Amino acid sequence: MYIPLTTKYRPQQLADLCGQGLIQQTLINTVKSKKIAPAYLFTGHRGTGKTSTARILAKSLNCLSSEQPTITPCGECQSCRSIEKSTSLDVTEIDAASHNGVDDARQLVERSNLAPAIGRYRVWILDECHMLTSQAMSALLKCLEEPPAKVVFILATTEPHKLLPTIISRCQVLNFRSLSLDSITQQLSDVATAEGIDISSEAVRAIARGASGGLRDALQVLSQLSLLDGGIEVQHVLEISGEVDSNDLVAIVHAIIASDTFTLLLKARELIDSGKPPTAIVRSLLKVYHDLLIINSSPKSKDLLTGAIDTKKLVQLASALEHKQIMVGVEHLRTAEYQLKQSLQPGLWLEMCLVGLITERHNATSNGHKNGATVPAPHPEAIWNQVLAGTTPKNRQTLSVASLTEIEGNVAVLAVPQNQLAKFTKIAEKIAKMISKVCDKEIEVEIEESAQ
Amino acid sequence: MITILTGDNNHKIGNHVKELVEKLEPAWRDCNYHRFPADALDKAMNCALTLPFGNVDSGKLVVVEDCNFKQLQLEKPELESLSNIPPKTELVLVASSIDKRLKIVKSLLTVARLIEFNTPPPWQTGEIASSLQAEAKAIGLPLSTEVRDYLAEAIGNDTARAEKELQKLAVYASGNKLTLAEVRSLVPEQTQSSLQLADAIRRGQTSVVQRLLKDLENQATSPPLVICRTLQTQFRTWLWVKAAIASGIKQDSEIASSCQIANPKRVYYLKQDVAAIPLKSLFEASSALLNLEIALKSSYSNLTVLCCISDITKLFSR
Repeated sequence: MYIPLTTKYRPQQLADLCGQGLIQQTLINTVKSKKIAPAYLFTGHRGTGKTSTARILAKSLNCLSSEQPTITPCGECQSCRSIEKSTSLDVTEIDAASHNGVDDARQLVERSNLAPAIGRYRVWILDECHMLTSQAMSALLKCLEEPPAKVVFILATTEPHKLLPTIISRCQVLNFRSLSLDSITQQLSDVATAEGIDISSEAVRAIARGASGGLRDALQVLSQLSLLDGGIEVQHVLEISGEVDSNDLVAIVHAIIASDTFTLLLKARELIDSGKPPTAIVRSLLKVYHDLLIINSSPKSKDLLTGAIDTKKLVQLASALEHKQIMVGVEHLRTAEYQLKQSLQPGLWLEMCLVGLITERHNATSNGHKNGATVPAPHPEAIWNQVLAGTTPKNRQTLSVASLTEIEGNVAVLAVPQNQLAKFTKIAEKIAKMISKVCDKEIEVEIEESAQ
Repeated sequence: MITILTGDNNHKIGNHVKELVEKLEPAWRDCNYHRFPADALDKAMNCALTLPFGNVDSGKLVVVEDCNFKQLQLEKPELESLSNIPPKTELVLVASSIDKRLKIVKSLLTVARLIEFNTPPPWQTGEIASSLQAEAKAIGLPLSTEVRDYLAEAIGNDTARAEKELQKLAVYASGNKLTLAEVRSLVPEQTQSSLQLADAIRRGQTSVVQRLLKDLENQATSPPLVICRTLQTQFRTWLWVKAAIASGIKQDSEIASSCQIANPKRVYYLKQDVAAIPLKSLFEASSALLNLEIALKSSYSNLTVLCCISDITKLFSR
């Protein structure tokens, strides 16, 4: 009978756990020192080993081949086998998503009073416990805090924020971190060797990268690929996961940088014709922009990169783009991602989105230049003061009754008291010369009556 | 013997009651430990006045929960009878608060002893840290100063959680010394890291910001929306403080009251935080964070958070 890889390579002992060093050590010490808490809460992303760990802990506590809890459950005794088949009387795994009502919780509390039948502990594993209703959680509270002797609750969830805070404070919380790229890669190559799957190391890395920290997803892809004939290469992985090949992405970004609309459209057509969904293309492109952003803003943190493109190529691309241009691109892609989901003709939207990236890039650049070129205009009053300072004291006295109200383009408006109007009209040309000198450009003067 | 346990720290009150239960003669424990709700006070009194099971020395514990002293009906003869409780019997009244001006409380206190269990306010980190240290010592877990300070900040005044986390750390350490990195990983603190993130954004340290974001994502203890919310609160507080300073308010207490800051001493630090930041950047950051919230609610992707936050960081990097 065919057993899926995820089930076949489920860890069977605490020592086999992958990528959770601290939690592993904590649980090993727990079992060794027999300081077993009445309730545990396992949290973390999917595929990080919560349910597996819960089962292992149950086995470790109840294995019949040793006199007391052991870190090496045999896997052969009646207890271990029945836990694996989930037929054990002492270890009950409840899918809290489908038994989420307050009645189920009451039943559980009632049954938890029964003594363990064969093993040493009665273990309740509540998977997906965030789906419990708040009444059900409240019903469990009392039992979690002071459970009958020899009862251990293990709660597992991906969304701990949905639990009541009172539940969390009664449990010993263990946070399962997302697995690192390296530990997933390691695990995948081990499985591949054990199963005799012919796969290149780049392909393994590509699978690991696509799994975003979850081992189950990675193994799922591997088992899917293992059905192919012959060696597995990167492009197979990309094809199955719907990701876009890195060379194509680089070509697209190059076309955007070079403002080559036609090549860009051709590339888009090619990708769509090869069966990539437009949303996947946009998402891959968003990843590239994200990596460019990281390279651009903090070149040292290369380990944060998520995409598949070679770092050297990325650096090269990033140098051709300004930070603002990348930001604008990201913004554009983000809105496009949303629009693509809603659209009936995603292909068309994709083309528009890509062309939009070119124009957006241009806008970002030209805006930058415009801002750089325009020096804020000095205040008219300041100019007038400069003019006054540059004349003889006698002229200064004459001119000081007037005031410069505004300068717009090449026209300056001078406000003059009514009785001086005629005099100033005569000398308007001279004043214009003086102002031109200060402003460093040709200025015409208009005389108008001042408000007072 | 009559004891009144009062305060908002239910966890510690529960622990104290547990200790009292342990003191009872083990063989007769189940027969000599009674709990009553507040409206069954007369039954509780009768129970306390009868002799304990077993021999006279085995002791008896009668707990009355959720007492509200304003509504307690105790007549004079009943109060007098309280002094007739057998010597090894303990009557425990648990109340969330106590008003010492009440007549009945005054007369009760003449015969009873009062123990208060109050949670320290969250900003008194010194006090929290020393109580953590004491608790850790009790379970045989050595804590270095930096670990203790980190735990005090990460856990805050939640004593129930503190107990669980210390137990976990004790099991992990099993006699060895704990390093800060191990503790950080075993006791992750969402709000704390979110605040660190806010600080890094304010300083414009792009690489730190990105590392923190990645960390927050990997820990998966709470969704991006919660992080966004924490950032919003922090930036809003900064914006208010900066605006208050800009408008010419000088007194710390006045700033605190107008900016709705509960602890006036915090204003001193907040002022230092915002000293070098232009008001405009804070305003733009706050509105950008509101936009981020909408973006997260309409179509989530973790890239959204990253891109938006690096955009905000750029506002502050000069």
